[in-house]
Amino acid sequence: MPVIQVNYYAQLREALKTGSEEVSLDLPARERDILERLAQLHPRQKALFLSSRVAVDEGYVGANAMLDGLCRVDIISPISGG
Amino acid sequence: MEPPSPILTQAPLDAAALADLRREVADPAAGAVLVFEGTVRDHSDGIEDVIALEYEAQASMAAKIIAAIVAETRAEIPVRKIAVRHRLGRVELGEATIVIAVSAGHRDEAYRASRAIIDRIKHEAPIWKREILRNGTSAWSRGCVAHQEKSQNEK
Repeated sequence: MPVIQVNYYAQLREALKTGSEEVSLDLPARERDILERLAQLHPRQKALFLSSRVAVDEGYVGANAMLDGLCRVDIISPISGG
Repeated sequence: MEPPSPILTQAPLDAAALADLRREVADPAAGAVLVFEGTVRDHSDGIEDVIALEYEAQASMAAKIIAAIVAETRAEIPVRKIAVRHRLGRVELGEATIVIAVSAGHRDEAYRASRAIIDRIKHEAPIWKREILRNGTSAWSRGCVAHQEKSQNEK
């Protein structure tokens, strides 16, 4: 099973007490698969993961995109800029 | 190596910064210049006594998305120039968190472009704010689930 680097920011970084971790993940995978895998690893943050988006190479992935060959993803929890 | 994007900044968006942005969008064909400031207010969603906000971002992604929003707005609305700055770090009550300067031939285009840009930044840019209260506590703003209105930035 491939291992990818997962980066966290803001409330997720604080809740998990880390900005980054390595996670084994079945690929190819859709965005929802990645978020559910992370929620499984960190069940106390399930609601936050399931309201987050996944970004790869500085762009949001589409909900239906099949992602393969990943080495790094960013988890974008609900945003509040502006 | 390219210099870091100026869109996101730790520096205060003070009178000097606003004057710089005003100059940045100056254009002899402009009949309207609109400078929008978002500022820190003392309450939020039932929370009172907010004294500051603290911003963090996935900075490279946020700068790229804001630049794309500006480019797409320019393509859709006939404005002359657009300049955007968004604060990172701690921003005190009353200070500007974001400034959007737009010059256009007419006011309607300037208002429409400014509104479109702030609305999209709030829904798309990976930026987070923590509300700092007078009693010493703080909490991340609830925010909204990020989404992009345009398909070209989707993977």
